[in-house]
Amino acid sequence: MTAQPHGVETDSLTSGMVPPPDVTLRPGRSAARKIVEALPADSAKRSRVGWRVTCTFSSTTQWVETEHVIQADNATGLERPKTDDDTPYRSVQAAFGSAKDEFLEDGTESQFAREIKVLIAKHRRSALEAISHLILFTKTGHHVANEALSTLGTVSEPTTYEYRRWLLEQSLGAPSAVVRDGAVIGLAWLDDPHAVPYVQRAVQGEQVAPLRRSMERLLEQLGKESRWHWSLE
Amino acid sequence: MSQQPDAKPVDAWLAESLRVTVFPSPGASFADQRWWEQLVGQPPETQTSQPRKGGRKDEGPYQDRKLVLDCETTRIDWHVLPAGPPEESDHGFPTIGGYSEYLDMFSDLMRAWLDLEDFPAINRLAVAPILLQPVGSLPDGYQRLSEYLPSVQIDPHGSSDLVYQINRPRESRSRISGLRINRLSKWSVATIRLFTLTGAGPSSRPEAQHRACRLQLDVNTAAEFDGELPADGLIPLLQELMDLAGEIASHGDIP
Repeated sequence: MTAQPHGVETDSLTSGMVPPPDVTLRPGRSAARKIVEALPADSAKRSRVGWRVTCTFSSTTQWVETEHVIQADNATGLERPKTDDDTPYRSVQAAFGSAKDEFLEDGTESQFAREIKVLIAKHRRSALEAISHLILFTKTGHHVANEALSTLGTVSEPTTYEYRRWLLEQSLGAPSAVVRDGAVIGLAWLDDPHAVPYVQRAVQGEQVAPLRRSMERLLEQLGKESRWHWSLE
Repeated sequence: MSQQPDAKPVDAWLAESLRVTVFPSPGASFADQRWWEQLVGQPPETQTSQPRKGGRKDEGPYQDRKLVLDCETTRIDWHVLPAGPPEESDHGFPTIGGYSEYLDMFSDLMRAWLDLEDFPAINRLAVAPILLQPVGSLPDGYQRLSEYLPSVQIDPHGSSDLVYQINRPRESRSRISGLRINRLSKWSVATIRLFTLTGAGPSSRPEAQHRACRLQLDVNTAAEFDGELPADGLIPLLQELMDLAGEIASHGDIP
């Protein structure tokens, strides 16, 4: 895998994905399929061309990000009120949008990280689905994704634990080294041996030497016999 | 001076969706409407009450597509949408099929609706299709768009993120005095990427990617028009709006 230079945005993960926790997939059926969209609703992104891949990981959850409308005073699509059921996605999207302008500093909890925690506490799985979508399927800035993933490891909300772990494990295969670094930090905080095979696979393909060393250190941390035995006692 | 583009067949476009919208006059009552049953001949598959918006949404299949009637106190929308996911489409895009083919179907349905006895008084009417032309690459898409946009100079190989949106209002040719029609169009090249997770194991096959020229149209009677649109003029007006949408799809961005 070739590392992406900092600042270059890539579209998505392209390999190694597994379904999120508690999603049962039927062979031959598409689990991630709902595709909508034109342009993001927030004004800062209106110049971006393209369709957003909107992903449905279960039969009950879907995101509808924006209406198919022309944004203009004389258009007839503007009057439609926003529905309530997309609030988690919009809230998470807004937090990600604001984070682009925030100086994200190592060792200091950012406003963005605090917002992520609040949103997960409030919306739980819906917030995680939105975060997953933004990181895996959209052109989220690498440093914002890094901060989000790092934060996921420190969240204490228990019902989203497996989903957070899943997202961190999947993000080890991100095209961007910055995003992969965020996944390593998040998994280090999580300290769950479940991630070992994912980290092992990531180490084998990692081309960025400092990041590979971080992954090896993470493997050491997760594989420590003593830690495992202590937890049993 | 820019040249007028040659007319191209409307059939070149696929329809991603079709929408007809009306804005009821204040005081118009239609809370008890049963338009779906009256037009489709059977109840909708799903019906969702939206008390906070004072509305109701009816949805169901219609001629192998998804039909939606979205009724609120301030607006009523009919949508025709793809019935299945993009991967089941011949083109990889979420389309309802050829534009002209489904426009005829939708046009018949909407004419019947405007002709119903309990159709409310309205003061605004809109036709808003979203159209697609599959292309092989971004430069191909820009090349194609340039054929429709004579006043825009596009560098197909040295540019990206192009969105061209314009309103070319015209006076209505109907007998409704002082009625202006907004002819909004928005042109871009869109990409759709499909990610499919299969049950065959922990693997993914996210290779599908398709591009298309995308034309969003919103042809509507201007909000400034004072008063109700005459009931006996609605069907010709609908036809005029659809003709204007077809003209843009065929001739591109022209005054």
